[in-house]
Amino acid sequence: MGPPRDSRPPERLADEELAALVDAKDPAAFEVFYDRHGGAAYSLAHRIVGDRQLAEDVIQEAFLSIWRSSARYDPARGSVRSWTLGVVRNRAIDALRRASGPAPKLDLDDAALLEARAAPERTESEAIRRDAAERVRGAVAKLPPEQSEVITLAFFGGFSHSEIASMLGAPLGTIKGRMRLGLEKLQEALAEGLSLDEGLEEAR
Amino acid sequence: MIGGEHGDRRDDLAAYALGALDPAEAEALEAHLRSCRGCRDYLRALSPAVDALAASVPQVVPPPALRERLVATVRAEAERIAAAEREGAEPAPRRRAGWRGLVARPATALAAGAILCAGAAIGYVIHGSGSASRSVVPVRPTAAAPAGSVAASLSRVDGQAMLLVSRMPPLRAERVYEAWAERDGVMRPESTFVLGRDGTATAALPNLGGATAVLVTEEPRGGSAHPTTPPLMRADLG
Repeated sequence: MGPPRDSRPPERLADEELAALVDAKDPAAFEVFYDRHGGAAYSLAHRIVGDRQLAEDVIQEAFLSIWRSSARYDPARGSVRSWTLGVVRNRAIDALRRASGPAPKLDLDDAALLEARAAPERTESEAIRRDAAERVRGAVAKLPPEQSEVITLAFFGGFSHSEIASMLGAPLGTIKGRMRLGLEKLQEALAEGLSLDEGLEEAR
Repeated sequence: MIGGEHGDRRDDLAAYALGALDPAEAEALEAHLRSCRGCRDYLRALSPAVDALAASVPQVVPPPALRERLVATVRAEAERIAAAEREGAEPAPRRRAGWRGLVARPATALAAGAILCAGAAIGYVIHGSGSASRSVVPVRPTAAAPAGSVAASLSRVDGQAMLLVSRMPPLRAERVYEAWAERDGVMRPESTFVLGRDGTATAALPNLGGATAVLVTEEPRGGSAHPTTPPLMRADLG
């Protein structure tokens, strides 16, 4: 059987403890795990595939793969949240590539529209997550456009550096250099007090 | 400033962090990372920025039905694992097993009363919401399904169901699988799905009221109003 049962209710467990219980096939832990990460995960899938039904399919695949332990949390690879979002991103990019044709992609400009359509009853953690998301979007928007462009194409579009290079008619090295400069700038902005951790930690 | 040695590799590391390297390049870089602390440190320093990107998207609220379907599936699978352990079967395999591992084990399948058809597919349908009222029905591959392919299960909870498939033939570009509900011999579209990297997929079947069977066909992207290819599998709901 699984590890000795913790007497604390799953809601009180840290992300890492919860992930271990999910791995041990505890359905109550899975529910809490989904409640903590499902919103951010669905939002990411929706941003990538640009379609609600397909985003739902992606989330089902991703969370069931976590439940069935075909995807396993490794603390060496960052927080549970970033690992979960990594699993979701991979699934979403796969879905996007399978769908091939020109996928209906959202622009960052659609953000306001989407957020206006979101459910009115927002929990506090959702509000914090929303706020953190807006601030990071602000930082991305401040990057030189040629840097935010390649980052967006790679991360949300699932394009490889060589695909992006031929799309933009620029040398490979240039594309990768823009990715590096953009990520470094974003990282510096984060370190200078654009505190995303706040959003990640409290969004529970 | 993020620093470290191997500055000439930083461009590659940034592309890697964004998932933008080709598979062979990523593999080569991972091999290098195992032996290069400077590069590992640089990659670690970039990871907050990548995490921030993932969290920067417009936040939308997932539909409650998505949670309901996931939770129903997970509870049903946990019950099957618990039942298998009660039957004295060896503990359910923890790694990479899931329901596929379970259905492949005769003790579990026979305990559940499933008659498995020879050759190709294995699957079952679970009826009812409580464990006491569930019954098990096989999902059969049709003659159109390639031999050895297709395994499926259908978890049914209160008129909703979740179809889980694996070992489905890969889809060509611009194609999807479509699940159909059959009523009085007429097939109505239920939902479309595509396969994950591991060949598995899940499809929600939100409205099976009055349906006598669930079938799956391959269709153009977006799905069809009527089947355009022969069904690959069939579950009779009886």
